[in-house]
Amino acid sequence: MIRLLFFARVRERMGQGRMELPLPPDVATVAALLTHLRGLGEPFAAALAGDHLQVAVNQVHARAADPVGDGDEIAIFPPVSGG
Amino acid sequence: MIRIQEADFSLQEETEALLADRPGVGGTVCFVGTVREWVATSDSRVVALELEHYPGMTESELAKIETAALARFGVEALAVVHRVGRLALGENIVLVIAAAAHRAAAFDACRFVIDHLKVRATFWKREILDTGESRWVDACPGCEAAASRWEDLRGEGHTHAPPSPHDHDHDHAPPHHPPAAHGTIRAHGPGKVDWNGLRVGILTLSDSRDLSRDKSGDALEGLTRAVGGILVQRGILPDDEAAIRETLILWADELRLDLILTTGGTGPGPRDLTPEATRAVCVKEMPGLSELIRREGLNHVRSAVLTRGVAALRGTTLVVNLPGSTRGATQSFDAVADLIPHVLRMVHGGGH
Repeated sequence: MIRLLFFARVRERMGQGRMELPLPPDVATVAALLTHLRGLGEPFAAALAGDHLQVAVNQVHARAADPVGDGDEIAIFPPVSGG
Repeated sequence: MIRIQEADFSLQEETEALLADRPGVGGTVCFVGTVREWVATSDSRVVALELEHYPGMTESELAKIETAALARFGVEALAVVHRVGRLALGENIVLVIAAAAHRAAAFDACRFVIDHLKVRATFWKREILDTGESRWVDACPGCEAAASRWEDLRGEGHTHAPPSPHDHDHDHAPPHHPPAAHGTIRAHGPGKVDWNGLRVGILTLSDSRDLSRDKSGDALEGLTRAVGGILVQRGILPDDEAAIRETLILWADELRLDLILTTGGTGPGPRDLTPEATRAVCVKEMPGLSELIRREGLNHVRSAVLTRGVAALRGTTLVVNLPGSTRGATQSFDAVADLIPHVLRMVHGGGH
């Protein structure tokens, strides 16, 4: 299982801030995970549309090619806007 | 010090708390971000912001930024307070305080922290409009560029990249050492070392680096500012003896620098020619300084004795060769920093 967290606009479009999902065995990277999630239909497809999303794996900023694994905490959010 | 809270903060109280028991602080710079009035569309105005964040990650990202700033600028203390929740027009959003021995480090560190906070810390703003609607704030267009100016932290999960394979300067960089201490002043507190406006040039010698990837030069620049030196020139050259000689002559005779720190080109390799170039343009050697540098290096790694750096005077300009690795350069700097004003006073005819 992986723990998914959503923030800001993504959270609103998902209708929830967190969920747990099984990680399919062929999903090994951040990019593959996003593709997998978008393929699950709504609300994922609409909430994760576009290419401006950022991902953190276990609370560290991640890039598309970074690995994801079972038990990870994976957060998906729009570009940050603090300060 | 990092805090995320809903309540307001007091600039006065936060500053006093940060400066308590820090007699070495001579300059403090504060940045306060506030909610400003903003015309959202032709018929709506922003009346408030709502901020949310990612608890846990926000604190760890801010801690990485703080660690990097402390190491890079040699400041004494930093504080970051960021509010979340609903904030009305005019209310405080964020406070950054940087306290250092000298103003330059405080200004730089404060700006470094807010520039990186804007692009890395996991906060999100929503604008509440007077029409009752709300909308999420997009990433600020200039913020990525502002942060990338610092050439640090960008897109990395850690605060400092380990030495790259191009960082060829051999001498004292055992890669397993934690890099976080780079740029701090270890051997002497900043209160003891005061260059008080010495005019400094930093010259990096490397066949493989450019100024955007010059970590030892960056570290020396931070240290120079932290002790109150004025950075007048920064340069990088390939390991070419004639070019090094010409630059040393120009910086000493035309720019009248008090001190030129070189980093790199001090090893035994065929392209390591910095000591030769330095000797060729200087008259009086100051062998004790380079002996001290090697002795300090030996406390950390035996290969420190393989650095052939010299220290010497051209007129009233002191040239000190430091190793090319960031760790070697900063350790060497620390080893002799307190003696440099002393040398220069004597050069100008002053006594001990």
